[in-house]
Amino acid sequence: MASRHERRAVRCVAVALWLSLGLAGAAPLEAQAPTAPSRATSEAAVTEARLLFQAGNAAADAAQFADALVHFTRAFELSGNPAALYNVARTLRALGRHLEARDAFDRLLTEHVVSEATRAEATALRQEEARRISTLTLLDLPGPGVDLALRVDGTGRPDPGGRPLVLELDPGAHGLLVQREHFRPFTWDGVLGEGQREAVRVQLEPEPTGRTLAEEPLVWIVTGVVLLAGGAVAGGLLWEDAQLNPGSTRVIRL
Amino acid sequence: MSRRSAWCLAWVALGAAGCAQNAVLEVELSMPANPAGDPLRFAYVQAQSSDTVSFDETWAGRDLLGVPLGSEPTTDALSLVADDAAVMPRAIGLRVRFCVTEDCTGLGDDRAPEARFRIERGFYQGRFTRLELVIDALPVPGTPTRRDLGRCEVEGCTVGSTRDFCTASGAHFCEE
Repeated sequence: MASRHERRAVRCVAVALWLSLGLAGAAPLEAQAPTAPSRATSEAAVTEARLLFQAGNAAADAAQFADALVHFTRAFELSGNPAALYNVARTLRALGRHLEARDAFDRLLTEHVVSEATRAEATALRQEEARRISTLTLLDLPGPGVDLALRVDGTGRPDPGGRPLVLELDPGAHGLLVQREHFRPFTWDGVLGEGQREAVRVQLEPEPTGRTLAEEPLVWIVTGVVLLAGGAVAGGLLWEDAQLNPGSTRVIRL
Repeated sequence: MSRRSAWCLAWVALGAAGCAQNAVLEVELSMPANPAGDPLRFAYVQAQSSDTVSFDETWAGRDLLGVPLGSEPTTDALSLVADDAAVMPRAIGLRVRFCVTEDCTGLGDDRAPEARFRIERGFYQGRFTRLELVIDALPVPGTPTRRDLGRCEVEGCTVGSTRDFCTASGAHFCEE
């Protein structure tokens, strides 16, 4: 859980950033990344973004980081303001979503123009978040040409194709499911600590044919043949035994 | 063949296996001594089952090697077996030839002394029957002897002493 210092940091730095970028009014951002969120150039949008930003700060102060994240994210979507993105990254960090926090910091540092002080702080935080990210390396995973389905914590993951496949995960409990047609599903469950590097050998075993022994026609055919043959032999022996045996060795059969 | 048919056949086979399907007629044949001064003769026995037993024809097959006659009368035990139910009601012909070779192919064996027996019926399915046949002396060559035996003379299917082996109604005990 985020500390009081964390809460204050989210608010103070973001406010300073917001002001330093001259966006307290209605001025649009100067620096915009090509992939920046939808831009709100209208005064109404900037006003709404500012209100959302303030609401986010209030939520962060109250340690309501989930709510704060919603507000900051929406504020960034409306304004494209790096201050909002910075607060998104800090809020993600406070929520323990280090993977998303790192990516948010990356986006801030690569797509937006920020002050040197802010850049230095964001870079330090980014590195700290990166160190907290755990990795799960999947060994022996079939090649990317094979029809594989990966699910981590119940959510599908695209297969980028690299082998061994390295999955970045937040610290905590995780579940892995690897599925391939005609193979038994492979599952792994475990808890990853901060920055832990874990490797898992994915062993996919072919599924049985799907028929039990009793459902195999060949088994019944062989059983039937054996029973019939046995019955015929037994019947023949019994028939022979039941027949009258001549008393003499000199026999004429008519 | 369906699975059901196969099972039925198997059960029928097992069921039928419990009952004898054949019939055996045990024959005790008393034969005379080999006449002194005569060459050694062999009793060569042939049997035939037919609705109309004919001794005028040559019988092929179903015969045993001849048994040499002794200086005293001897007895030959042989078993006649009917495996086919269709054979059982038929008459049985028994021909005993006294040949100079054991397979009755020697010189003059075509005119060997011969005793003939016709049995009205001797087989009953699943039953043993018995018959004693006596040849007191060698028949005259070229003039076979013949004896016809009725079905009631064939022993079997009863115990104790009896004049014959048929009931008052005329049925053989083995038919009861």
